[in-house]
Amino acid sequence: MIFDKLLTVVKNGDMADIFTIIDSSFAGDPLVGKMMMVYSDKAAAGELDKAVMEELLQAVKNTVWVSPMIICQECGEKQLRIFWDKVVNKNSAIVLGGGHISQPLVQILALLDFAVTVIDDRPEFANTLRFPEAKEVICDSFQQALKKVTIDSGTAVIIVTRGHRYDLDCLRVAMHSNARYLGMIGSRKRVREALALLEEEGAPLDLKERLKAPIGLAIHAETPAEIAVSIAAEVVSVFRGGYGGSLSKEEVRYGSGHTK
Amino acid sequence: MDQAILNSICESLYRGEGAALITIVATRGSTPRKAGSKMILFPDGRTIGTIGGGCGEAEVKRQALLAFDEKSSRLYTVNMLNEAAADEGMVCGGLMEVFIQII
Repeated sequence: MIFDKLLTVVKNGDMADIFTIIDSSFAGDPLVGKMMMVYSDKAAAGELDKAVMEELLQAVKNTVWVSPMIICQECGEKQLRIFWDKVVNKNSAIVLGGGHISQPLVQILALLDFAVTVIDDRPEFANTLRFPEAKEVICDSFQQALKKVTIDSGTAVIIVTRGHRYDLDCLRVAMHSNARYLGMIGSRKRVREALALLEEEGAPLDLKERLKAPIGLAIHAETPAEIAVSIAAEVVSVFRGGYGGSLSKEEVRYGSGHTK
Repeated sequence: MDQAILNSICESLYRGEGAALITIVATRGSTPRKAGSKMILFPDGRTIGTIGGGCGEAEVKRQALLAFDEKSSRLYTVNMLNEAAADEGMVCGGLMEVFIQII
């Protein structure tokens, strides 16, 4: 069964393409609903004829998949419409620091379907009792712990440790990753100083552009929970390619909103 | 397609229960969710995931239950453009094509 195979792929953290025939010019075509999958090594499996699978593979060879889409394909006399999807792994978030912002932040990120890892070097802050929604809580020095976690283009790295010095330690490691979101807490002044220091040390050139610091969207957050909302909103905005302003202000430029 | 959806499908298959996998395959204009969003519907009406909720989703659920009875996968278009849709409270004003796959 193809769903079994797809589940194995996603459990192993691998990728696979999924092709589903959704429409045919031939009424009542039994092909509608049939699927094929392609592993990352290009091996194909599924419920379609070998010949049809080969044809389809040829047809998509030069197409770059960006988001789920429909492709049209001739198959003998028939015209088929095929939905092209991929298995996706859950996005992940690394929260560095287990303080009082982290608690609501981890709750919100879990609600947003991130697999959250919390890191702190103090056992009284880095424990699963404090973070029941986290996938993993690591109690270790920040540098050591950062070596153990996977950071990729589906990861948000959020630096909110108890001290400026620790924040810098984390940033020194995280700035070399390809994390989708990289944010660090701190006042404008502190951030400026930190960036200047890292520049001297030879930080990647795009760090200034990329680093979200001071962290979060401008909603005048004060309480830990409000700051967590501000940070989480910025994470969503980066992952979804949003602007981060009010929809009522930017309706024309940024789409018509998210209402039903 | 993510692990949560795949888990639910595989579990229902092991139980021999059957399910409809509902996927948004294309949207036009303003719709609550975009292509690739998925929902599973079980024969007893339980659902996992969402394709946007509201009247549009309810309409698709009815179609999926029909598809169950006829054991045939099909495409269905939800129109949220016209006045009828606005009267029913579908205020997004877009068009959404969903594929109902019987598994």
